[in-house]
Amino acid sequence: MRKYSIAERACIAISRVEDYAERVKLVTLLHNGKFDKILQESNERELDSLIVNMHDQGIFAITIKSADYPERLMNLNSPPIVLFCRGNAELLKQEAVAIVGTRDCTRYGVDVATKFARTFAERGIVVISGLAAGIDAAAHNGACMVARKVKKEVPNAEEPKDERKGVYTPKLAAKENVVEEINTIAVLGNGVNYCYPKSNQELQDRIARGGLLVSEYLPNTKSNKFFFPHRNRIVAALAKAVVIVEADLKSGTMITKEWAMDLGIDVYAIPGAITSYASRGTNAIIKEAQCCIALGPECVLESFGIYEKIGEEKKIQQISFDEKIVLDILKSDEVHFDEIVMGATLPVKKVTTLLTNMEMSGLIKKLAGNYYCKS
Amino acid sequence: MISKTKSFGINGIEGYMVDVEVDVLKGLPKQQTVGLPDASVKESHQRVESAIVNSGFAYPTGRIIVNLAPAGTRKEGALYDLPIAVGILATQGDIHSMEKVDEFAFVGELSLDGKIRRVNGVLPILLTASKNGIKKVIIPKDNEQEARYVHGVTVFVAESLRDVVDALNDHNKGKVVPVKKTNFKDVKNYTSYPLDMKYVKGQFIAKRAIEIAAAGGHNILLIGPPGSGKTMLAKCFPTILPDLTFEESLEVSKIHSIAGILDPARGIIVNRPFRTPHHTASLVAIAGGGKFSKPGEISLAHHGVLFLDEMPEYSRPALECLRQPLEDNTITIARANATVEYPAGFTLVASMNPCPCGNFGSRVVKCKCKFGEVQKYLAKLSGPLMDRIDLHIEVDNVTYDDLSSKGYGESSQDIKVRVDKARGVQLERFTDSTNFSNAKMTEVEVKQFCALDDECECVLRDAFEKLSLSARAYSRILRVARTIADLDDSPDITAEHVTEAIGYRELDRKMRG
Repeated sequence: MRKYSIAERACIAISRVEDYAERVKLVTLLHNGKFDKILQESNERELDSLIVNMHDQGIFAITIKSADYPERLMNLNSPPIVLFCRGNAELLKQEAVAIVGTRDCTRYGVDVATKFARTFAERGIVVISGLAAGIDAAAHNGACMVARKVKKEVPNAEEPKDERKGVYTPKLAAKENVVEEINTIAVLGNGVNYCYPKSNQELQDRIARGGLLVSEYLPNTKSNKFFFPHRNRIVAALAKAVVIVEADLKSGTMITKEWAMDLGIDVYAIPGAITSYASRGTNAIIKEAQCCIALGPECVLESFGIYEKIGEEKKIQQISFDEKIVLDILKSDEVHFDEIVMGATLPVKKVTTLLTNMEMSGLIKKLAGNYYCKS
Repeated sequence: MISKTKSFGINGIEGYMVDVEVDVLKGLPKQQTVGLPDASVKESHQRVESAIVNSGFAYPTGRIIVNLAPAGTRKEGALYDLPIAVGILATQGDIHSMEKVDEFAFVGELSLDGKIRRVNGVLPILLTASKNGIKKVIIPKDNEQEARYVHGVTVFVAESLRDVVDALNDHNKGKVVPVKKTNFKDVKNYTSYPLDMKYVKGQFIAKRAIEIAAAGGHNILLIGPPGSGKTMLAKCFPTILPDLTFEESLEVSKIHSIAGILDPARGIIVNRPFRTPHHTASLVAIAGGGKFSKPGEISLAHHGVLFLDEMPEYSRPALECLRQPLEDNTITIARANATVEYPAGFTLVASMNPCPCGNFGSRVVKCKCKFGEVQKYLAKLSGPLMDRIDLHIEVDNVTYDDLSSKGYGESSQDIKVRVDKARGVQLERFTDSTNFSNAKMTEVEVKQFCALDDECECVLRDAFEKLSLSARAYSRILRVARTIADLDDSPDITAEHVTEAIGYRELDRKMRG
């Protein structure tokens, strides 16, 4: 169990206070080093039970008074007093890049975010995002794609004890010796025990095991729309560079950008089609020259002192004559099934078989509505 | 004096013999019916009294007891009016010969002026008569058409009670005439559908999937935005199904006869039924049952197509009740006072929008749904139900160019030839089995008839990994692959067939983009 010093306990005590004015008062006390006073004002028994509960749930707190508190956060004018974490705290010490964007994204955005995140994670750079739907999820997913499997000695987990007779006590899962290591940090806008949106539950669980979940809110806090813009400052402050994949003109992503610019962090934007709603924000900040244009992951890597050319992996594959015809039809567009049939002048059943085969060999992708594109 | 006339009752879709016994006892005028009559049977005394008096006979004074034997089964409907009236007249000697009454069985509702009205369920009744060795049956004139296809029994039609009595007394017999029989082959040509596959523009993949569904009896789900032609495709589905055989036709007609929706001018059903209950339909409307147990939509769709438009909009219980029939081809409805079984061997054709706003994946209108709403919408259909749907395909908006193009596609007739052939292969395969289509194969049969070689196994394993298909797709894919092989006239399933079958499992993909 992590031991908390008096200063750290005082920080956790502050995080339990909801009233803003009260909190400001306590933070002033904290900065003046009057930890006893803070603890006196709080209910110490409740504080102890919170810490025990957190430990049971695998959550630990990194406070502003802790040795492992990320220094980068001190640049903020209101750094989080406590970071409630679940996962691998080592990740906070590594260099990180934030990949952020809209929830209402396009396929293009998802593709780009995944590819960027994957490239960074491969090179040992931690990918930070907000675990929202859309681009955020795609960024985390991209980092998960290059998760390393590490053999680890798992300390003997304590057997759950239940003295009552006849009560079913679930057996602990078999000891896993192989642990995933994912280079990603998710900064949540709610407590680490919650997941919003629900569609990200699976991803959040995976990050909790192999990456790191971070939140400045108590573990059981439900999400609130005011929390999200606020947590964006942590996303920006933890990173060395921020990549904006897709964003509309007024959005949470733009708030992250503002924070990053205030902190003097490199901001990169991915240009999009001028007709695309999802790219209006990114295109606008590119136009106003507020940021760098990222034409590929290599542009962002320069911020980390990595200079390398990232070429497309050339897939060497035997392509049949029919497959060649289909690839020619697809070129760079999204093409409908019917058009492929008419273009290739092949029987329908042949085309179905062909497309499924090509999809399996990774040559093409099937999109919703019977559309296909090159992958 | 006691008289005894023969009539019929209906349980489920099968008829049974009912003896109508009438006795007139001394005592104050009173009418009683025993033998579990329902309201419409109890009321028949009032109709019968009026009809007898208005036909020019005397109504007996005294206590009239009517017994409907066997006494233990519920009797429903007004068809006992005629046998009761004949019985009463026989007890008082208006009909001279009891033997003559015994020769016939009677079915018919009486109107107050003595005319005989149409009743429901005549077709199953006549089939029961011929099975039970009854030689002559008198039925209402309006039900004449239904009698045309039942062999082994002479059916007479009558218009009024007076005519029936006259005929039984052997004078003026011209009014009660036997029905002329028709050969089923002659009516078969009446088969006609208002739609044809050739009018469906584009939609190649959907057409192909429908052909496979028709050939193997597979259930199919069409997913697409509004106006993409899902309904049109579904309506074309019966046009490529094989013609009803005589036995099938009789079975379908029987059900429709009991439900009272048989076309009086036709008398038998030659088109494959196509039922489209609205999505507000209740559980009982879909499954059948109710106070007067009636076949539901799934039974009316027997040997045909049940089309559920906008499937997620149906109530959950109504959808879940499809599960047993989809497996067993029958539905057993158990109520406190009776258990009935109706056949329900239909092919399910369902359609749905891909998301709440309907436009997910469309390139014409942008989808307004939030992330997750789409998944939620699809999750409305329960796993066990989706397990029973073999093919799911996307149908999409047809552009103006497609609509205005002149050329027609393949006609239903051409596709039907291939379907008929594939069905023939299956009939041969399942001669020893109770099952008659690839879709309804049991797991044992799947093992026996869908053996895969190494190459196919390899393709399947690849597909599960790379397309992240869910495990339950496995045996469905095999069944569909079997049908595709049958359409191809190939005795073995090849890798090509398996790959094509995988292509029709749209909803099994966990990641849809």
